[in-house]
Amino acid sequence: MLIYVYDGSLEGMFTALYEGLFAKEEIESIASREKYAPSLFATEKIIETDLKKAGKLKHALQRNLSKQAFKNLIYCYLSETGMERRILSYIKMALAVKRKIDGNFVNETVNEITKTARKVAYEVHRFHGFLRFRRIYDDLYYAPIEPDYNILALLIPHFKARYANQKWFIHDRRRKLGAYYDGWECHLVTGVELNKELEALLQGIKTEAEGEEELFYRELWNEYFASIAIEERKNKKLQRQHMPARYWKNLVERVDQV
Amino acid sequence: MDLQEKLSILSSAAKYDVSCASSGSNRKNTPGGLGDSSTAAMGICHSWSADGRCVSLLKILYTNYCIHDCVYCINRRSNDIPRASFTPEEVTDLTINFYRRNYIEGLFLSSGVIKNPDYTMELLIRTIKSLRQEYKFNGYIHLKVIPGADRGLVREAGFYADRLSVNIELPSEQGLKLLAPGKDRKAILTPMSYISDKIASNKEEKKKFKSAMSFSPGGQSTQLIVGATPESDLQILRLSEGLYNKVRLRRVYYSAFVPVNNNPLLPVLKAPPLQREHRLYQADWLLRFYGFAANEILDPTLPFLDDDLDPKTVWALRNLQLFPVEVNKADYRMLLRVPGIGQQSARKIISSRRWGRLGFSELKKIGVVMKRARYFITCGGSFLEMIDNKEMIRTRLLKDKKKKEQLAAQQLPLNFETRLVQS
Repeated sequence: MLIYVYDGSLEGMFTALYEGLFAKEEIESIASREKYAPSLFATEKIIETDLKKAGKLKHALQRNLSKQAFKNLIYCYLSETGMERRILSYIKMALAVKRKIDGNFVNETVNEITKTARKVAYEVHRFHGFLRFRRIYDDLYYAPIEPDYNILALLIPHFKARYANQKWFIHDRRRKLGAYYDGWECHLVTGVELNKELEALLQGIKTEAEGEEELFYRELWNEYFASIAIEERKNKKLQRQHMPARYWKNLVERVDQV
Repeated sequence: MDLQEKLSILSSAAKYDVSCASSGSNRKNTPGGLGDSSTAAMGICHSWSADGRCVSLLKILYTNYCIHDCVYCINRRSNDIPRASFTPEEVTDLTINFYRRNYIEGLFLSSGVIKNPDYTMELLIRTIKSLRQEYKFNGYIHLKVIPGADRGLVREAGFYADRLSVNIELPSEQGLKLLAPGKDRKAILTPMSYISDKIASNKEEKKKFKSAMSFSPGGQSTQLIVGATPESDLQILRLSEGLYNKVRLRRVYYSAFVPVNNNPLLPVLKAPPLQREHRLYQADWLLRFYGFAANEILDPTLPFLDDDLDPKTVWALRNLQLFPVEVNKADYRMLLRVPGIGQQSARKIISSRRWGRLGFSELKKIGVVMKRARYFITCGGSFLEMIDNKEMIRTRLLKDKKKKEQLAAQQLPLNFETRLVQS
């Protein structure tokens, strides 16, 4: 049995899937280099990313899958939950039956792919709301996020549409990724580290990076957040259900104090 | 008075309005502008307050001074409470700065009535007009129409707002007379039907001229207070049904009455009737998405919704002769009427059964709530549970529910993962 190990990029995964479609041996799993855990019973095969193969498969998929199904596969990749092997099964099935299979929810593979993609889509939707910008260094709106899935790229169109006229930086702290919008276009950056000042700021320490104005509006927002709750209807459990505690850290409202 | 204090007073005064939706608009960003309401067709919640309600818009009153003396209302003239008024500049400043930081989807602006309805309405319009024109703001604006305001003002407001609403508040004319002596029902219903007609004709106009300005593209909504006056759930649902079908409202909101004032005309409640509000919302969903009529859900011999079971299950129990439904054959409409099958699972059933016969384990996988559905369906002709007795099914369902509640009480601190909401 074989384990395919690829470099973690989308093209890398597509290359591995391409190889997988033609492989004669059974493939135990497909894993990114980062996630790969050696197994006693399977041999590993390093997959070199091949843009030509990746492109070929991508085209074939776009021709044979519905738009939604193709999107689901990309979302599964971005979930970073080890869905690659399932994606291979899905593709095999889809190419074999020559019929759009995404309506067959009873099928285990289709069901799992759909469910995972929905979780990712739901987190994107959540972060449209949960993301908070802080105005730093006069004219940059900075937002730290720590999403479960790798959704940074999926967030860009939404924020680009509404904040076309301000500079912003969305920072996935967990993956050290950044999306920087300079007022014209958006750039993706990797290996993002914060300077000491900003690091302190996120720990709640007042620094020069933020002006008085920022504190002023944040306090107003907190005032608002506290005063709109109806005491007679208080229901912290419900609040927590909608807004799980793991998201609170990067909100600027003090959820636990009201 | 500083801005913080004003915000505290005027947001607290607005919180009894439950509407929070930011959905349905098509407003795109403009060159050099701020905001876009078209990428959020579903509406976006930015936070949840301590009472578990979604925070989507900056919901404030322009002022809580009011010429009316409505008995149920915290802002009634005769109440001795701190009063405040914003200026248009303060409202625009708050909106823009909250929006830029992604705290909110936009503004929900309502107001107490000062001097007269027209004067108040003009202030509100001046504020949102400034947001749209001076600040090129394209975020969401929900504006309350002041009952009794001039038609021309309502028309103008509709071109700046994404959603307009007029609150009916008390579900019957008698209720209104009793608790809101300064308001009359006609002053409420007239602008509603005017807005409805205007939205319809604007849609036609937009088909012909793409550049025509949208009139309240997010539609119209209203709010009913539940439990301040003695109307039955049937009366309330019939009213909602009429509002959806005849006035084409996008949403009717139900607000459990919170006794903020002491008055002999008001009922004495230990707590707001939250369970009743919850059941009304469920019934409202049945009206809007499940093809039910108000008269099917309730009838004059049974004018109140069941506390213990959801309205669809109660309907199914009353109509056992229509069941069991064969899931491999039933059409979408009928599937929707089965307790435990929602819109999503009904759609999944329809699309999956093209691939083969569905059994009970497949239904479970699709997301059908088998605990409820089991008494009402067959799969390929076989039953999971053959009980043809309304009382017995009811007893079973209640037992399941109790078990679930006990389990939840034990497990909750560990298991807070949210279910996927239907988006």
